[in-house]
Amino acid sequence: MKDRMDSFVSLLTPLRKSLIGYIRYLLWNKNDLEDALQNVLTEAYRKFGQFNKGTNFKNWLFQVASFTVFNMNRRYEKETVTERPLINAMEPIAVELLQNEEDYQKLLNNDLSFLKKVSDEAKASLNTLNQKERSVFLLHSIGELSYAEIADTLEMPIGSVMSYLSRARAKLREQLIHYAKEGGYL
Amino acid sequence: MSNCDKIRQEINLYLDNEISPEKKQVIENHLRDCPACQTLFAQERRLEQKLVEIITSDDEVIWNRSIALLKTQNREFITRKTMVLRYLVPVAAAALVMVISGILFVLLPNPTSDLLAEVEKEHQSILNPGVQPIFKADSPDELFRQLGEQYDGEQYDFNISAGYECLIGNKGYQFKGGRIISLLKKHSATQMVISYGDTPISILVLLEKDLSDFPKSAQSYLTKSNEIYQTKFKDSNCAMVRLNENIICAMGAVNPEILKQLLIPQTQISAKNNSSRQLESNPPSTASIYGYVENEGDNQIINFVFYMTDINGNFWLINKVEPSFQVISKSGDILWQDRFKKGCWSILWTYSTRIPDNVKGELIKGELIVRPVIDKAEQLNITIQDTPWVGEGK
Repeated sequence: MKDRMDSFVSLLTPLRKSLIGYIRYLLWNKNDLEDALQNVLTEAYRKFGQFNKGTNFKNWLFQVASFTVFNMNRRYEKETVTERPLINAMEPIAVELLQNEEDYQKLLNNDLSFLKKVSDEAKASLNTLNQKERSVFLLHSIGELSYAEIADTLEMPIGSVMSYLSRARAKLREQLIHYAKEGGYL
Repeated sequence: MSNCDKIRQEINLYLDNEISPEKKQVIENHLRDCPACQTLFAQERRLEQKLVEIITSDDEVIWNRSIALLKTQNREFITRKTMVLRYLVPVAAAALVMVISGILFVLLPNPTSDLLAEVEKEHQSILNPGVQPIFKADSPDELFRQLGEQYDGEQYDFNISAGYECLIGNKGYQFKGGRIISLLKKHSATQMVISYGDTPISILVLLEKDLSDFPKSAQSYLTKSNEIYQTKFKDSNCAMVRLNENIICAMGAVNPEILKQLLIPQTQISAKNNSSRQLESNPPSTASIYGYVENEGDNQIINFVFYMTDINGNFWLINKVEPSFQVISKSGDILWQDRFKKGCWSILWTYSTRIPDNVKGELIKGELIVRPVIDKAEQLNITIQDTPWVGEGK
């Protein structure tokens, strides 16, 4: 009983940052963060018996977190997901999706020190992503999961993971360009 | 397409480390010879890193609070001897099926499933005078006094028993008591005992997931909500229904029709339309709560049963219960706190939570917010102080 809790917490602790980050940005209502975290931990502990020792705990945990947060999000019908048909799964990098390549080149050349000044806006730019784009992007960047692990976690084909990730990156970069230009940094 | 364009098409896969070793080699060879691509790859990597740095967030405070809460609550995992206490068990039970249409029955002789056999064993155990969980009393106070004495003496191996009113008005049933039990050491269930005339009937409430250990025939029947499965086990008849998140199982040596009636609404509940349900009776007039604090080694466990009745003794549906408990020191500091929100249709709630070993307080204070199911949900606060306690709210 105590052992079970101890081993659960010991697996959980190294994932603190990534789990909090993931939940925070996946959640529609930011005020629910603590509730969401508790729900995720409770749900994960409840299902801990089903976790197959020796398999990827992080992967498993993010799967539990995804479902729990998706369910919480359902209470807020903010998002009507209009899915664009997936373009070629091997879609190249953002560059080609971006409206203005010239601005993007400026962004790449910038020393990016302005990012700290627009960090709130940069965070808010995650809101421009739909749920799938956001969860794929967060699992990849914050959760540090591989494409295959994300596909497994979100139960979607690997090609979709790549497309969502690519689209998420493009949208985020476009937002960054927007904020940078607005602030006169580009 | 130039060589650079081809290489740049792979930039995502390369930076994400998702590329085959062969292609990786090709890209790295190219990068060595092409400063422009080298710069672009480096810039892309840096941009991604910076972006991730910004959105990476941490919150040690809420993390620690959540872990502490998880450890103190141990929801559903409190064990005692062979028993599992359920954290918040919605005892949906009798008289609360919303709308049942197209009820189907099957009759199968002696299924051999372990879980059904266990249910029967639990039902038989209440027929044995040695472990009969029946408390009779004229008033809640009297009941609780008896209950307290029983637990003081550690005479009984179950945790909660309550009830003094009839369960469903004057329909010939009497509510005798209840307890939390463990089946096959893995399924926790709430057992309520009522009597029909002199014949005891058990109503067991299990979780939906427990269905997998019932006979295949029951599983296939209960895949749809609100259909009643009927069977016979040894001398007892058994009727089962799946309701919301629960499996409700009525068992007793009575006519199956009697059991069926327990799972089917009588006149109390009707559907006004698909989205709002209302009870056709008086508003709830009494909220009753029975609870006690149990010592188990160094641990203290808070248990309670809660329900609301109207003037006719009919149970009321409650769709939200928010219990919260605090342990307070002599100086008034809050040493430990437990709160939980649960939304679910139910008439009887049981709750159990463990106070951690290291919390030694003077006073346990609890508060309960409930929302009965009426057109406009009202909030009812009951504050409980001291232990053992019996609280009533109007």
